[in-house]
Amino acid sequence: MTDDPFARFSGTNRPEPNGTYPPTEAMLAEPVDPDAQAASTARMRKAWQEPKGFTHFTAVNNDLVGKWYALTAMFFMLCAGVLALLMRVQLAVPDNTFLDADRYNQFFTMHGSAMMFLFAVPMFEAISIFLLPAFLGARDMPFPRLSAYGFWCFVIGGIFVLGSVLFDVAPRGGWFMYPPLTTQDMGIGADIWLLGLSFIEVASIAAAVELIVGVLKCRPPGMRVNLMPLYAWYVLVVGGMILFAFPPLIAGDFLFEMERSFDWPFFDPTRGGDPMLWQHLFWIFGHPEVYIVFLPSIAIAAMVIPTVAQRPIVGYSWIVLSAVGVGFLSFGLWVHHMFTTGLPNISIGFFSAASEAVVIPTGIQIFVFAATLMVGKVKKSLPMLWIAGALAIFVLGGLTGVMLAIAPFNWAVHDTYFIVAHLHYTLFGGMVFPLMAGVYYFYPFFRKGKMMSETLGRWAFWLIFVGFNAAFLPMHYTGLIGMPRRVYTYGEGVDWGWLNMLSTAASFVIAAGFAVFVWDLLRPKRDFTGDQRNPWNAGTLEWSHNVPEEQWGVRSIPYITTRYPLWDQPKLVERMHSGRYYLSDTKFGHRETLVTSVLDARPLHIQRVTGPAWITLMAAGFTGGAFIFPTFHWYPPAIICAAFAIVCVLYWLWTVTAQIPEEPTSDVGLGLTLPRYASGPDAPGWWAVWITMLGDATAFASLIFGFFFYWTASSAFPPQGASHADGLATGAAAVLLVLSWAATRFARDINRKGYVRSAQALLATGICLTALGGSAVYLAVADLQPTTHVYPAMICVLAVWLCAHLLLGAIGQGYCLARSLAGRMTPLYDADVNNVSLLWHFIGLQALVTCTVIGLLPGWMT
Amino acid sequence: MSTHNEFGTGVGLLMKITIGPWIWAFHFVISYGAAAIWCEKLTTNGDIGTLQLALIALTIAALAGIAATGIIGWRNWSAGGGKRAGTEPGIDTDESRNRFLGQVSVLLSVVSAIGVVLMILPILMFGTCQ
Amino acid sequence: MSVRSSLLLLAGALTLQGCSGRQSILDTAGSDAAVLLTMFWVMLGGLVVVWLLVNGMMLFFHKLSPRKYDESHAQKLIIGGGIVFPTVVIAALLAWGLSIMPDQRAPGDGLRIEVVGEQWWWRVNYWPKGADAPIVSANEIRLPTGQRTEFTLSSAEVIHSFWIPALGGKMDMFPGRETMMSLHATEPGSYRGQCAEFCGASHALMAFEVVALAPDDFDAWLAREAAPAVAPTGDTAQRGAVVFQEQGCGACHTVRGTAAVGQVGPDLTHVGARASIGAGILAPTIENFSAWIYHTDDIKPEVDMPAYDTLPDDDLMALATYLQGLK
Repeated sequence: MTDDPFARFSGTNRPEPNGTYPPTEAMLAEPVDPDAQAASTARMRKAWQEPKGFTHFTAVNNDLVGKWYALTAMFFMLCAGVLALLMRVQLAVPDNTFLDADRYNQFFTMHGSAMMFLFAVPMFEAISIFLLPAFLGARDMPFPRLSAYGFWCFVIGGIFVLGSVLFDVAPRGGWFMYPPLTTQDMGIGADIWLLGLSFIEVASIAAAVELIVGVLKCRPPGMRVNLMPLYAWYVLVVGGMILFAFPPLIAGDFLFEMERSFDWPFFDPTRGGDPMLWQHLFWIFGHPEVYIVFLPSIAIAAMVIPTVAQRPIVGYSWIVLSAVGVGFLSFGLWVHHMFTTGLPNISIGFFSAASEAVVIPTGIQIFVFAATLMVGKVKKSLPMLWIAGALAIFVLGGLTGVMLAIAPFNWAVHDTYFIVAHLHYTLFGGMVFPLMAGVYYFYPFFRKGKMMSETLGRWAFWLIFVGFNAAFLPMHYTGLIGMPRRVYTYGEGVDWGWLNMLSTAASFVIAAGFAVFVWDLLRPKRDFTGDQRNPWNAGTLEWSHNVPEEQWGVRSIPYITTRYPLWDQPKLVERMHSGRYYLSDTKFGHRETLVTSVLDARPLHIQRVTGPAWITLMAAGFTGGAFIFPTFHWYPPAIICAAFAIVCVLYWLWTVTAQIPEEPTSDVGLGLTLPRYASGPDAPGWWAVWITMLGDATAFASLIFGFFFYWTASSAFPPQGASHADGLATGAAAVLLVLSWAATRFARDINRKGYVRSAQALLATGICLTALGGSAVYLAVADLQPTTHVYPAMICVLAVWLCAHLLLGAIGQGYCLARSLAGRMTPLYDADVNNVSLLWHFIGLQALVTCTVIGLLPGWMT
Repeated sequence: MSTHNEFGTGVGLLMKITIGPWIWAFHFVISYGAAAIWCEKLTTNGDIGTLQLALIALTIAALAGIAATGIIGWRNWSAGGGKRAGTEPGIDTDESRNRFLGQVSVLLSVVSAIGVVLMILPILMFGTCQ
Repeated sequence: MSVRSSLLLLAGALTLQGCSGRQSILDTAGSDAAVLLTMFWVMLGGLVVVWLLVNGMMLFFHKLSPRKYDESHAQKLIIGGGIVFPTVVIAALLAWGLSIMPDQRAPGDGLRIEVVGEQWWWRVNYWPKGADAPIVSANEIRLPTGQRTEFTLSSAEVIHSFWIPALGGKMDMFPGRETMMSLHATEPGSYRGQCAEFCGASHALMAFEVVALAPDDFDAWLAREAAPAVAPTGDTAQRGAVVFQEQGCGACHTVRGTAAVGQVGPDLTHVGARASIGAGILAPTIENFSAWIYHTDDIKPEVDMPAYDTLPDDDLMALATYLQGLK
């Protein structure tokens, strides 16, 4: 038995990290054997090779997917910019007929929607997917196929939504889509917006999951939380914000589409609905969204400024404070978009106070940058020029924001061009300019040593900076003298003509600046001879990159003891590239990275990461079908696509996740042996489930919020004499589903103890209980007529939501059962049942809350 | 080396720095929700005297909670001689990490306290629901 | 408004006197708007100062600074500039802002005007103190100076927003929900209001004229507005009245004192006396009346009223003359 390495371990006696940690200086100083190095280099190259030719698109390596993602987002940005130029032409003179009303309304709707959903957020995801592993000295993202899946969803959804402009059927209700205007709209534009963008929101949540797990679990050994590059802190905060901000919008989209497709009257005041609920759900998303866009860009500034000042950032903790503080406070601002809706003064006052309070952490950020420049020796450079421009613009946008947060002043200028000016100042200063700084700064990293042109960079900067201010500064004034937003034309009599002409002319200057930038970005730089690894002399880990390019991310995963390792840890780069550090080899030819602990980044285990595959593309394609077909009310193909999407995802999980390893533990170098498998809270997959379900629970909470909202906003909710959900069936559903939840949880425990057959029996019982519970939920609401009033509609929508989750839960139970039967899940290698049991905690709680709300609450409310 | 409970202690310690902001968030949501329910369901004449008293009590409780978080953070921060986190040599130690977490929770308590204090203005400045 | 004064604004100067905009926040004719304008100037002054300080500081450290500073200075800069200064300023500003809110929603002194947003025009009902039934009008607001007029706002189908920049802030109008605001005009004169919430294809073309009158003038006007329509005088106008009836205009429009009692479109009893037609977009000339009737959809995209483009020219002219004469 001694030669079976598995025999030493069981479900209750699992392998653990073993050996020396942290490494001693003597171990690090020891040279690497050149022959062994050459052999392992060849093995590593083979494992990480990107597919060639036609199969190139199956690649999942973070640098490729990140690059595609960023270029696609940039393309969508340019399209949305062209729409803006066309709108500016229309507004150049009074009573213009260049665009008709309908087309103008489509354009301004798509300009806003595309800039927000197809550019700003995806660009953050793209850059993070591209750079985060490099910041962290990791090989790749924890779930490369998930990134690729998210990217392809984004491509399909983006083309679908943006393409609608070409067919004159684009959404035309504004990017905020206020019902009842949009629920009454007869065209398919609103459906394109709702379904297409929901699809992209799902991709955003996938990226958030990936980035949070990446920051928390995939840092290099020794990189404690207080040593992380600041970008990682921002990503962590923004990932968390996405989890709480996007789900309310998804819940809102769900209600909205139910009204449009099936006439459930959530926003129809004649049947008890209320358009204000949409405004709340939209802005609970919409305001944090602004900061979701702003924080990653300011994070780029936080990476650039120390390099420019050639010293560590002053006040690292202050930056962390400001990122976390903004993350929280940004959720208390949403009603400042609704100050004119007639809410009570005291409610408005609360949001006015919070909107002012967010100034504090935002301001601290800027003062930390100033302080760093103050104590450093500043090297003038193109990235710093863009950062300085960003601050000049952003500070003005921020200060007009302080004015707008004062509610009575907001009543005066809300929905005027003053707001258009304000929001463009915050977004150009807070997103576009720092992003441009980042492009110039990281370009030598993208292109492995090549740099963008200093001259063209200055041209682009001054064209965009001057053009921007000439276009948008006058708009403050245009708004003050009365021009409302979203008007496709205006008359002679109002004196707005010359101001609009000025803005239009200047907008073409901005466009010229972008043209210069794009040319510089994409032009071939064959004549470029420089191949410096670290041209800015930066201190963070990404500048240890491979020049010329290699696909493995890092040659070996370093041991980090400082915030700016390239400045403070001499020989680090040389040792990384010689394979002195961890995991410099791949014993079985797999792609692997290290998983470390959350606080102190102690090495925990080896994580196998996924390689290229068609299945992610197919899954994205079918998911697209499931979202796109309902736009045209073609439900059968949509259902078929959804089923195929589920099958694709299951196949993908089955074939590459939680694989039983070749040996229980492996040597990773420097005298350390780590397990090759993890389950439960040690495994990144478990964290991904946790984080995803947190987002899911937020969406569910938004629906419950809707239920209470109708109750507070209306004196007739539930209406008198309304029929309610069947009490007996609701109670039965609650009991059955709690039993199913318990069965899953218990199956996990006894499987670990070695009772595999009993665990299988419990899982099978669980599936039956779930099915029975789902039937009981159906019976409970079967007699209600959701089109008659919002009360039955709300109950039915909760039931639909729950049943969809029960389907997911049953699939999970079935998956574990199948894995166990196939011998792919054992007492020791039990990640699947751990993840599904975690999933069931969320489903079980949702079931209990749903049954309480539909079964008991109406009695208390009346 | 032994594995510890990654989720409990790891994330737990990390989340502790956000106790101040969470208190702000609960204070904010409860104030907003209470005002909405009071004005729509509980009052008949639009008077908000009782609501104001309740919210002031809530505010005092919230500030006390934030102060407590700040004090605990301060102790962690100043443990080991009150050196500024992150600038001393030996940054790669458990103590340094704890000082960092302590400092961040103090700073977040300050910002949260400002957020809660500003809420007193709307609580006190209006006498009716309108 | 003059080019010179706007250039001054661009240069950061703070004077905008002499603007003649009838739809401008900067040219106030009401007490609420005046308070907001004062607040605006104060905040703008603060904005300019803070912007110059922050950017001057960045410029200094980035380009001009002769030496490196000590880190303790940096700490003081962060605490002073990032926490202490903004906390004091925003607390003061917030207190000021909140303190002026109740006034802007104070109840009216007597007259109440009920406005219902339609796509894309305004139903306007005047309720003098103690009235049992409203005096019905459309697309124009007249109000007395020197007293606070209360507005109850709602909407027929989609969300609109009611806004008279010269008099005060704005308030949204919802279907199925009533919102309230009040305005206190101080200067007699004529101003313009416009819908501020996007409300569909012709959102840009949903405006109205506002006339503030001295109280006596207002009472006299209201008495005229309450009266039935004047009888058409002259052959053309009388023929127009017949065309109005034959074409079924009365199915949608009311002309009080005639058989036309439709409620779908704007009340036309005194349409000729209003300062604009088509909800603040055309002057009430005979040519414009006929243009409107003939090309409704060209003038106001997707409007509900059909274009009467098969009407013979002389009928059209007669109809326009009749309507224009409804003073």
